Amino acid sequence: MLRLIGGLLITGACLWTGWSRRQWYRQRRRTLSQICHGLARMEAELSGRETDTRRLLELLAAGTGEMAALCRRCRALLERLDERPLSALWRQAAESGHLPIREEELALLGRVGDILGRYGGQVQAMLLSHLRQELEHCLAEAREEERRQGKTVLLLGLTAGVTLALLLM
Amino acid sequence: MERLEAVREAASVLPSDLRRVLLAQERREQSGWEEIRLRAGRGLSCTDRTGRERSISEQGRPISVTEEHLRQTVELATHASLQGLEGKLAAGFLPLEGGHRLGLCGTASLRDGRICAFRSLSSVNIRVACPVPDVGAGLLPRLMEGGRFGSTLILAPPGEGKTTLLRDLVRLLGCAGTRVGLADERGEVAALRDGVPQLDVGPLADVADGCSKGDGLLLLLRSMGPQVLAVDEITHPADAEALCQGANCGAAVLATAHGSGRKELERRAVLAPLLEQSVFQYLVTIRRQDGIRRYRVEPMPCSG
Repeated sequence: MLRLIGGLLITGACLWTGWSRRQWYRQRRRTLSQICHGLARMEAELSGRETDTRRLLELLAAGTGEMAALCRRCRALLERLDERPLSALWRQAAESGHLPIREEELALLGRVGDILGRYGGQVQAMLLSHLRQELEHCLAEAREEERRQGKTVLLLGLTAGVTLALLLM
Repeated sequence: MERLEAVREAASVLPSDLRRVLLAQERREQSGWEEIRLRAGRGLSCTDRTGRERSISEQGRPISVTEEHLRQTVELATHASLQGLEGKLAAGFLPLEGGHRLGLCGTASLRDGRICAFRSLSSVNIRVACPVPDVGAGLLPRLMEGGRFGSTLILAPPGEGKTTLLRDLVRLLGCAGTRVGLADERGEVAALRDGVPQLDVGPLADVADGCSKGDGLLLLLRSMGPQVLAVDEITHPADAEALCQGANCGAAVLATAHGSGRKELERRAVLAPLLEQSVFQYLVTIRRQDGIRRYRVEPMPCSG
């Protein structure tokens, strides 16, 4: 009986590992999608209305999801603008969020801070658009990975769990 | 004390480390500052009323200013929003809250032949705005003719107080019941913020900013029916043309121009149409002597 429970626990643990990995793929895709949507909104605001940075962050912070949370964090950090530049505050906000994205994607997101507020509205929109295209490329990859790897890691977890349990039993 | 507050307000756009050092200087000294300058790779300095520039140091050690300090100053001045300020940037300065002004210098990026950003900054200059109430009070009666304001040109080199005098004359004219149309292209005279002047331009001043002086003058002429048209720094033929038009419509004109004397005035091509048409009745020149500004009023000769 004890062996059976042990086997089930091992199988469950391996299955959970596979499932959480699958969730990470899903969250990465969702986060990148939210970031791309957020950047598109920023571009529209900047090119259409030349919305100032503080207001821009407030507008985006009013939404839900990771991009809204990032904008809320950055908006709060703006109070420290006399100590650190906006680019550093944005990076700090991005890094402190522990976003479920890869390092290179986080680096791309960090570059938003180098653009915001530094140029005229049209130029900012244009630069953000280039950045969004790179992130959309990452999003397409994330979708593909989720599709290909999502089920695989789940099955791998289950298989590894069952095999390990059988071996130990 | 008012001047000290203006200096402190202007210094609020500096990064915290530089601001701390600057505001640790003697209060008496601070209250004499008219400009605060930052130069990348060099230091922090202040210019006093006599025009003398003095380096600021911390316990005898000079302050090291980096390009990042300059960038941060611009960020603080614009609340990290250069969007919508491209026009001001193209003019080489940004208006600050309280009517102060941030002058910029460095390697410019051009778009359609106009400055749209700075790739790197080499110097910034914060010019502290501090209205001098009644600076024009002694002058105004001398500029009146038959109870009406006579068209006046204020002539002085940069930094001598042309804008301050213009602002105070606009205020005094308003207080005396004269409607003034003020074309404030660079936002230096009234420093409009959400439609409200940050600097006192009196109760009867209608202000047009955000457009060229020529366009602003014509807009004021068409829409506000000014009795006096005021403009700071005639630099473009279109400004002079609009002033001539205003003068021909019966409005008196109050303007400023760079120059140190009458001879220089006659050499400036942009002012030629105004002089040819005898638009101005009075010339006011400003001269600084031992830190004190002296004003001289002289009648302008009529043409023909």
